[in-house]
Amino acid sequence: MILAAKDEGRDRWLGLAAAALLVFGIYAGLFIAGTDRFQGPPQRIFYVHVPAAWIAFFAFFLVFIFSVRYLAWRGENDDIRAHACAEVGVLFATLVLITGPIWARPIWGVWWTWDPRLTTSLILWLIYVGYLMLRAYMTDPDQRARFAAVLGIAGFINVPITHLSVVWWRTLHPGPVVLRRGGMGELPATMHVALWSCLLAFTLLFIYFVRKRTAIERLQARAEAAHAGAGG
Amino acid sequence: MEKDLRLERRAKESFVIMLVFSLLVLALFSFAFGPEGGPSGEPGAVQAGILWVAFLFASVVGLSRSMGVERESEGFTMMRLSPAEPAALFLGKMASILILMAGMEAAGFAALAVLYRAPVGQAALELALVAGAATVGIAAVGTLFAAMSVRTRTREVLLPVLMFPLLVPVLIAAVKGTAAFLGGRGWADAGDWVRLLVVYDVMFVIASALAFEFVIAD
Repeated sequence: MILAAKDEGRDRWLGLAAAALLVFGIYAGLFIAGTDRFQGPPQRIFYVHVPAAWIAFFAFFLVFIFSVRYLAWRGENDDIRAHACAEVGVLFATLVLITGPIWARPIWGVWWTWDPRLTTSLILWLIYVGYLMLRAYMTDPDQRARFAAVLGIAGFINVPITHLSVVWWRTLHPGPVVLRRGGMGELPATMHVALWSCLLAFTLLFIYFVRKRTAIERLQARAEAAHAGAGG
Repeated sequence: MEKDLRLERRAKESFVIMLVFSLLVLALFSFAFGPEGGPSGEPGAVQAGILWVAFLFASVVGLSRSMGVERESEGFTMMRLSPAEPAALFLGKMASILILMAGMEAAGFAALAVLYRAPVGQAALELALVAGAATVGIAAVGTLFAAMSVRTRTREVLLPVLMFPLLVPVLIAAVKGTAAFLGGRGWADAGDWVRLLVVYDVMFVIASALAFEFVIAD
């Protein structure tokens, strides 16, 4: 037996709970939450977009934490977790970058604008795609783990500087249209229900994906080790 | 041709890296030429954008050459065995790239003055300061990632993909600072950008020097 049965059972419940909450969240977003007075139906994409953005950012923060831990203690698990978080983080960030323009097109009239928040998200996405590529193109596991950890740390400490530079870059030369999103504070309760249930669903989904990915990675590492052992 | 495409379909290496690289270049041009993606109207903006995009690409060539030498001649093994601190090795490597780039940039500014009739002479000292501050950042991040990417299967191709996103603040600040001096607007416009570059330099020189140990270790 390779995977502990208890873990697998727990994962199954986690996955089911995430799926159920996701279904409820989508239902809440479509039917419980009222239609936004100014934006109309396209506003509903926010119940996917905003939680995905939060989760992606959280995932990259975890990559940073696990990278620091790896360099400090060289635990193989930290490397695997950093990898899993980066992968799932890129997945959610991609979702953010896809849903964003779908919303922006009817509301702003453009698919993309170099707004600070959008720009920073794009750079963040590029950094972690680079992270995954670095991992993919390296074969020596120890070296791969070290290099990835260095990038995981450098990428994250760059985030505040990037954000600052992009905000200045944008605001020193305001565009022809001032684009503003509405504040979060005045959301009606029904919208809160949709937003928070989606966030919870995404959080569970994130944990589920990371756990699954970690388990697969462990199996792979074990298979590689066994292969190396048998080969020489 | 069929063989090449079949190989590519299996590995997907070149395609993915080409795709990400082209996205990256699209983004870089936006940072170089302003959020509207076109000339932002201020004098010197286009010239500064052209100049810094050119410098950034040139730095990739210089960096991969410089690290390629280490790879071919067992330089990393020597570095590991050397009694010197990894941070000192990093600073030495970074300094050599810095000098290389400074020479290239001096020629670049001269070419800009001649080919684009840019008023480089009127603020030569200030421009040198902006360029110096930006180049320290490029050299720091570049040295670290060149040492990493040179030891992967894809080598040179991976370097821009890793280092350009991290250098976005440097690119923006260098372009804005250079444009301010070329346009005759001076410190009032460039001050914040130079400060941003200095903060970036301090953070990344320290971080890269500390991290270099993990990169040269075997």
